[in-house]
Amino acid sequence: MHDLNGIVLKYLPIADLKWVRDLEAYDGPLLSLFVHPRNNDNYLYYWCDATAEVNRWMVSRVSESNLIRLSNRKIPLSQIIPKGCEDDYVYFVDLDAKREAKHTSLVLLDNIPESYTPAQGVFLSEQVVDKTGIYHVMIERGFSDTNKWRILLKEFDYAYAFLYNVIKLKSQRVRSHPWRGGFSVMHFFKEMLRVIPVEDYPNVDSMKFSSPGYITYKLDADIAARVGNMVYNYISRGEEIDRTNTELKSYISLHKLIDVKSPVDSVWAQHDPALTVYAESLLKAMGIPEYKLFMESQRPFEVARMASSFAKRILELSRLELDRLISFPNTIQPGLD
Amino acid sequence: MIFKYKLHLEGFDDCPPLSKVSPLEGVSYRFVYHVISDPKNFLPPASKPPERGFVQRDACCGSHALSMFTTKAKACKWYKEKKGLWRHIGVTIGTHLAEGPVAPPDGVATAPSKSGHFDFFEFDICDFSKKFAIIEDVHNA
Repeated sequence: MHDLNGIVLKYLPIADLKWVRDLEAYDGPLLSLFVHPRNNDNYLYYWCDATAEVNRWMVSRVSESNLIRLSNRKIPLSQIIPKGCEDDYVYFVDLDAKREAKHTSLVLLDNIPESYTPAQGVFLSEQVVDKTGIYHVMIERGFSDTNKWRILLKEFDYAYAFLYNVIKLKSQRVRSHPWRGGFSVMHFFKEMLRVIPVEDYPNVDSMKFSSPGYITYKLDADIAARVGNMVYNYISRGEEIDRTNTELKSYISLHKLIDVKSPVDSVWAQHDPALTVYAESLLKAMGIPEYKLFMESQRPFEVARMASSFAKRILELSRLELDRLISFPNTIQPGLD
Repeated sequence: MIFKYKLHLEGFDDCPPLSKVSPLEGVSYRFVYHVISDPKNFLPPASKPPERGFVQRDACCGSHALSMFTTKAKACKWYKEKKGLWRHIGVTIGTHLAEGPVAPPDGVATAPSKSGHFDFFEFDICDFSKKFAIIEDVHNA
């Protein structure tokens, strides 16, 4: 192990740190998150080295924003450890098998041996993404336009509500609506929100308005992750989704289907097959493999209109992501475990 | 068959989790130190000093299993990624990749993850140090 160029301490001067979770592990932790019980400061224990008797850990204080971005794979580990930590120094502790500190020191950032730091540009594994009912939307740059905030909060809620109904509630609470004339699309999504059980309702738990900052939601994190993944899917396959959606809307417009008042009108027989194909194509392209039950829940016209309206929500969220105003966690990065 | 570390495993409910493990037949891969006879090479985390952890590791069923990989390519890819995050990772998990045959009398394995990693619970007669051979220096690759 390296001799450290720092100040030897009798003990780590941060008392009672509480272990939260391991962010990376292989035969035991390699990177672990601790929190200070009183001021809620976050500390990372980063494994550096070992002898036959001890493991050496670098302990550094990190901001909540950086922690969120790290665990959601928005920034590489090297962006935080060591130079992105909150102090001008870190601690090194050598812990034996009983987790007793055999050596503790304070080392200035510039004096940390390079081999005790991660290589540039390497991200954590995919599986560290938090799945405990918490979902973070990262604020990449400050935006003062309140209208954009409104769009973000509303569209995220609506997209989440739609997916929750289709996936978790298996489309059983999707009610029939006319989807024509003066029907309010917002009314539909609000109704979708209303049927979500309170424990999974998309509540904003905390916000930090800064660049970078974050919005922390408490909700069903798996469904929220699907929203984020759909935004990425839209960004990469937007042309196909837009084309299908445009064709669908053109078909409805061309045949003036919005003007057909009666759901039992004989005209539907000739349009249902095409509407079914359009809706199925759109839902598949959006990345909703659970589309079958949804498609069976309503007539093809309503299903098509709902799918089209949902695509609009994802489009709005994608615009915010493309403008680098916000960033969704992406849990579908290929080739990673 | 009796599991190696039987006394430790008996301290848990359902360890190894019988619904999640199955016998394995084929070639597997494990990170080891540069001499295959190194006594640390085939020790599970709970038995390998110095234990690396903040909570009682032997309180975890999986800490009495050996980490293995399904293919050489997946093991090498995994190691390369982790070496970027921990430059001394070889000190704690090994520097070389060993390959060897695994058969049902050796023990039972969990299903592999996407990275190819799985846990292997050995039976007491299992001695991989006699069956595995080093095939690559992954730390200096």
